[in-house]
Amino acid sequence: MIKSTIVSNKYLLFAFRLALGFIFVFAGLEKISNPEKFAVAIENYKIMPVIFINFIAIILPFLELITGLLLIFGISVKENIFIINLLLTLFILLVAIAISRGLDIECGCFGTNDGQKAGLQKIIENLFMLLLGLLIFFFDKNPFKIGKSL
Amino acid sequence: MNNNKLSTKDILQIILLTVIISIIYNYFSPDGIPLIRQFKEITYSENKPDESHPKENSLSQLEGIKYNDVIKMFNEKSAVFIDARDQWEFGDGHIPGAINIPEFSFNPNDKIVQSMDKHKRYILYCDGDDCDVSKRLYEYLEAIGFSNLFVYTGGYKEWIKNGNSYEAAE
Repeated sequence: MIKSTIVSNKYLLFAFRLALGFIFVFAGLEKISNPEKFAVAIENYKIMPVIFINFIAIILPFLELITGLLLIFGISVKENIFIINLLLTLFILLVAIAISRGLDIECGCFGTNDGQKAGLQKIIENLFMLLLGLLIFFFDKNPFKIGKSL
Repeated sequence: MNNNKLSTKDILQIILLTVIISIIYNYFSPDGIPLIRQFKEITYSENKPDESHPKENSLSQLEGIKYNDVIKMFNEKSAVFIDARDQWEFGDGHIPGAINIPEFSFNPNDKIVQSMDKHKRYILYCDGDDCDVSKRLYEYLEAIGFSNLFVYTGGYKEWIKNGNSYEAAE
């Protein structure tokens, strides 16, 4: 029975939810503090037409912040974790493309001054977060939430 | 209501809320950036400085160069040409004597970049009017102290169109 497995333990899922929520809030805040540097980090991936870069650099950090906050407070968990999982998948693809093209760049994951490279380690970290996200998406029914819907 | 059903409406609301908040925040923030990123404007000055009097770099403009000046400097050998395209395009054909610094994989610590005299005159080019890599490379090189850069906006297409010679890899 799925209900008896460790992945559907409500306390564990709650801990996963808080962990992912805080990671996304932290990542969002770091980027909001310096949008120009984040825009340059996106530009370095050389995958996006220049005219879209600033728009993404303005929106994406807030998307991380807001989905992270809503996840922590348990508001629309399913929808927020869906967005977060999509973002994580996108990040994994972007880093993989950067590696395959031989780009030696900062990943821009948590602000831009952290010196973290877009490399295999980033992909593994993101895969791990995606795994947590999928567990929350499929198994989270826990009561530690303050709202069902926006 | 089934609590486990994914609500597309909620997802759209979250995204819409995010877009509105972020744009408002960006508008009022002292660190705000323009919604649309643009390249620096390209200007063409009439008098090209000689090598002993390098031009002043401008923060908001890229210095462009037209075909007539390019061909003059090429004949005088008073500028070094930098091809910003990738190595395969460079291999297919490039302006004679040009060095290849692909913008795609630009690395300031690269041996070629490190060995270059930052005050020498360099003319950067790519395919032609509609390519951006020479402009980006201009910004990267400017950021690490190159002081005498020009973008040849006509690029390789214009060079070939005017019947000039070219070099290609074997």
